[in-house]
Amino acid sequence: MNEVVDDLFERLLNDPNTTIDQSLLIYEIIKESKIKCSKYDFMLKRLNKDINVTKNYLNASIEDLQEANEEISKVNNELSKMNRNAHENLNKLEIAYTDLEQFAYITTHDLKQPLRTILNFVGLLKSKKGDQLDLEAKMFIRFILDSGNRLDNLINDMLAYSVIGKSGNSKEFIDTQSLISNVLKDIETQINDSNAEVTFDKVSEIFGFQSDLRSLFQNLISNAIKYSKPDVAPKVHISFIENKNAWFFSIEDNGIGFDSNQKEKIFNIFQRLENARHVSGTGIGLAHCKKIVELHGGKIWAESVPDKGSKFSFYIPKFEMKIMVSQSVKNNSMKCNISA
Amino acid sequence: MNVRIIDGQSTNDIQSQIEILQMDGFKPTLCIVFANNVEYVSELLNHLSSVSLEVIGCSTAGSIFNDEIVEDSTILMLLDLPKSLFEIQNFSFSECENEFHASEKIAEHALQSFSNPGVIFFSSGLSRDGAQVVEGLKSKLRLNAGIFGGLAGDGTRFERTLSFTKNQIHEDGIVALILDEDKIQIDGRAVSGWEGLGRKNVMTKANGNILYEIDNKPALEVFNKFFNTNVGIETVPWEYPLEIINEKNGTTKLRSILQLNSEDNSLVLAGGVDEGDVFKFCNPPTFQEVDNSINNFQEFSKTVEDAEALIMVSCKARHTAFGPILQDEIKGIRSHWNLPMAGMLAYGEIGKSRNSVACDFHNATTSLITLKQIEN
Repeated sequence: MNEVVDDLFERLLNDPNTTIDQSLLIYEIIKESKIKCSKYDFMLKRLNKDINVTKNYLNASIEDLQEANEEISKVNNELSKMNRNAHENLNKLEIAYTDLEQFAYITTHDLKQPLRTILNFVGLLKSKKGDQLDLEAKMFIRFILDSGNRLDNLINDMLAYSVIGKSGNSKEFIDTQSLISNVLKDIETQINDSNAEVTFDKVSEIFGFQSDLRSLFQNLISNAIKYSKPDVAPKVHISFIENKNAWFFSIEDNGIGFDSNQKEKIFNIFQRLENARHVSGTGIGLAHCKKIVELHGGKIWAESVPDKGSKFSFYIPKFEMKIMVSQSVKNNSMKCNISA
Repeated sequence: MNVRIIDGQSTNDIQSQIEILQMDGFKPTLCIVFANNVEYVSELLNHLSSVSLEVIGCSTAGSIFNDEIVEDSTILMLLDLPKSLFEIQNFSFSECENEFHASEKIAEHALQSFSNPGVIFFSSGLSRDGAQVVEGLKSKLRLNAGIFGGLAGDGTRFERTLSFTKNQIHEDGIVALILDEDKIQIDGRAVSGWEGLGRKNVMTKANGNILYEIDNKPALEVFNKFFNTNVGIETVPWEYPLEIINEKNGTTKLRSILQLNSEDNSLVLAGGVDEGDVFKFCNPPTFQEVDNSINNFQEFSKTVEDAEALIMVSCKARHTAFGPILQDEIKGIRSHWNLPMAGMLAYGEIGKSRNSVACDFHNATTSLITLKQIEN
């Protein structure tokens, strides 16, 4: 381009008709044009470079995206496979669990009858032939009756445990105030015998399975009295708070307490406190409570200081109640609309 | 305040130009030197010292003389400011714990001299973090204090940058001109124009101005992949800085890439970054941006119409990106005042963005400093 311009300029200069002023003007115009050309040349080269960089950048980004997509596909395949496996395992687990529950129910139920027969006949033996038996035989009979009664309690507890949530009843709004009062009446003898003082906060209605929740409160209050310190009257307080998401309960006592490293273990079935071997029990009560709370979608936990007392807390979420209320509101509004 | 600019090719050339100015009755007290050719800096400083001039200056990646970018020249801005209105400080970074500490010491000196000091500094431009220098000054000075200057350059050689006073030449140091802002108004504006491109990346490993990892991969590997470049000084992509995005408030700052280090697969940036910083690569701006920049400075000129001297610190990256068009930007900016203007192409600029109260460290910007002596 510059060579063409230079050539043109030279021809104009050599033209005898060109004046000096015209030559100077042409020179200035050409000089200015050359500067502009060089600027455009530079920018053109740079834009060309920018385009190459951008192209390369886009290609690299697309490569990255493709790699990421492949990675995502691989992970998705893995997840689908894992999901299928998990689904199959879940089905197997459900079948095994149902089998186990049926087994537990049938076993305990079928054991109960022969046990009752044994205990009845040993009872008859003791009452009708007791005076013919020597001291050693009487002692054996006592051992049989004690063990038999313990086994009977254990079977009753196991039966109760295996039927949690299987009453066929639906969840309902429960007058918790009355429910706790009724529980206290049921264990009145235990309260009076131990001189226990049981108090509780004002509680509101909650939403759940009536019989299971009654069993939950009974277990926790009864335990709080049972695991008391010798010669110290048990004091039990049931506190209650609620927020927009859940109802929270705590059952606090002044009993023997337990080591905090046992706070998880105690909710396992057949686990008993090391410092309470002298207290009678089957080791099912707290597992029973855990199962009931979990049946309601909640959580239970314990805090304790040995020789100071224990506090068992649980919450029951309001989630299902909210759905039910909102459905009921929806239905009512629909009805209103219809009637309007 | 009277201001004169000299473009000199040698000490003798400069010496004779100063003598002519003095014969004309001009009695300068302060000389700001931008040396693109550092071969005779020592000799020049001896001369300037002998004529009782206080000196501050640095090596450059190209010098600015009024409307022009000049190479192999030394540009001097001579001012006849009363010596009671300014002071010059300098530190070798090796005397201090780090850049932050060095500039903290400068700020402490400044506050001992004046109640409201402003600072124009020039610092080593290769291995030092300009952002930390600015933070050190800001930690002691008032929020809106004038903090301006730049990181010394060395053309495109990246071997040796100098900053100097009349008595001291530092290869790894900082020199500062401290001004009494109650008597001299210092203001300025910094304008960029670069915009991010493509997806966001995360700086997963960084220390100071060294970026080691991008998205958990070696930084140089990622860079080479995106720019399809080979390691080497000649391929340093000045014009493709990183745009660091503050995800909390949406503001951005640029960090130019100074060097590609194949030994540890890192990128040496012209300013500090933090691990976790989110950034985008950038494409340089085009013609339109030069016009926008000139318009931006026109707006600024209305706030400081009566300025008496102009100092420009423009990024070497702009020169690489705009080539001969940068000259149009320089000319366009100066035309708003038509005052003597000296300056340099730098490895980092310090200035004030539009709508900012405080000054900051920048890359890929043109930063203009205006000076005016306030009448009593």
